[in-house]
Amino acid sequence: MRGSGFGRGLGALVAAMLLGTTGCAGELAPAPKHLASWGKLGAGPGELHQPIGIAVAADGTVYVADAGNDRIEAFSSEGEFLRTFGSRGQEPGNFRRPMDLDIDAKGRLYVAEHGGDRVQVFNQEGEFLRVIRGEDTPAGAFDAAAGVVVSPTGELYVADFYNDRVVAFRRDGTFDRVIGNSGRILPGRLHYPTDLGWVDGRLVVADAYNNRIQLFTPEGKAVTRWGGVLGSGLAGDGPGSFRVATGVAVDALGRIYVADFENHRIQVFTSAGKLVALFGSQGDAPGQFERPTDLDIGPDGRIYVVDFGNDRVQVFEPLSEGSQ
Amino acid sequence: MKKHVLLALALGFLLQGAPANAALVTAELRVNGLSCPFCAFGIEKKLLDVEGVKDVEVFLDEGRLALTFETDNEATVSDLQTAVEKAGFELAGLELKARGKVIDGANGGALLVANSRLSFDLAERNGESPQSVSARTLAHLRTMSGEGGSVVVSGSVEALGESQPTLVLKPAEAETR
Repeated sequence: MRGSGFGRGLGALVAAMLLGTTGCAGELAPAPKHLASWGKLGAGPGELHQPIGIAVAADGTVYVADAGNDRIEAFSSEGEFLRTFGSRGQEPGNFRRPMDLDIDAKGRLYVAEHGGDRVQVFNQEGEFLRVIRGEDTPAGAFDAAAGVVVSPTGELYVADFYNDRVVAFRRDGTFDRVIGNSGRILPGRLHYPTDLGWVDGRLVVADAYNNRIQLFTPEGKAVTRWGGVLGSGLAGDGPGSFRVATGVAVDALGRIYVADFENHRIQVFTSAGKLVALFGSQGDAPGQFERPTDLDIGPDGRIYVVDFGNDRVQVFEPLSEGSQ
Repeated sequence: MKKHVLLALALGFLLQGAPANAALVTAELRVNGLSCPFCAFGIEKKLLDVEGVKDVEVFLDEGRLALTFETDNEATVSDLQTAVEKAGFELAGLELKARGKVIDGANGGALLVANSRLSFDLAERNGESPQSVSARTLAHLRTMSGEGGSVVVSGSVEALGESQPTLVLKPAEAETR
């Protein structure tokens, strides 16, 4: 019995290596120029304590999930502090570790809470609109809602960290389906997913502790993956490999940016998984990172990175358009 | 009198600072490999789910978590251990402050934690390895707790996997002066 199970696993591993995995790097684009940094450790206005998630609105306003302070902070695209909302608690409008946020086409903010097991929706002034909970659906309660994305057509996807899955909701907010299940190596298996993106009609999943990126159809079929040996998720520090891939963002050209947490760098790929750029190293100088957790792309293509360990946001010029 | 105060400090047990019917008062947990905020806040979440845990403070880069408990908690070491394991980690170290009664145990003195099914063998460290608590220390603990009363003791928990773990009282700071 044990042998046959191993055989099936080995066969699946070989199949995983042969199907749906992607190539590696060609010539890489030059690292984008560092433009600015803002934030410092603290709980005052504009200060940050363990920031984790980030989203940039269509007007350039930058929202940061300031998880250690249980609040959201808003900055102008130049880093000027604008406003903050939320404080520790479980009531609507309060937070228990807000980890990630996304903004829909109508400008509404969706905030995923690790400790609160919910997604709260706000307008951009921080007024509470509604809450989405797993226990109100056939999927059951979230166990640490770590990441969130709204598709261009308004469907909501939630990265359900400890349940190793993504929960999808229709435009009207009703439950749609569960995507992925717990496991390693094989396509569609997830291990502590932390962030989500959307590219070319595909859901992008930061399969963080499988050290890889996976793409799914909206119906939940795993179609593409990369990271480690042929997308197996083996951790590494070579180009195209990850040590905990915690954050993803997609630019207007469909390039996927990945926060490579324990490698202290950002890697950029085509939607087919080809590496096109890599920048950053460990440190606290401008352009260096101490465990970046998330990133987003502004309307002008600027790259905004949450530099978690340095309690700051760093801004980089847009990646050159030829890098595809 | 002065000698008694010094001895109390040396053994790490206190007679104040905890509500009368508290069981576990504070705990400090250590876990290995804690470097990511998703995991750190995950452990925090799982520990806050333990009935009786009031607050959790995470020291990410030190791999350390400091817990306080509700007054009438019935939390156990096993509850804490399970919560850490649910978060994907192993408990590497545990220090507790707990209120309880000093009783006779199979290996000398034991602490029956108030309001709880939890108990510990009591030990103290003389040199490298912990040894059963001495008759002198035991007598002193009993004196401090009084007739039917309880004391608050602090120490590190060893033999975590055993049905009755050992609480090694804090080192004799005052005695080393």
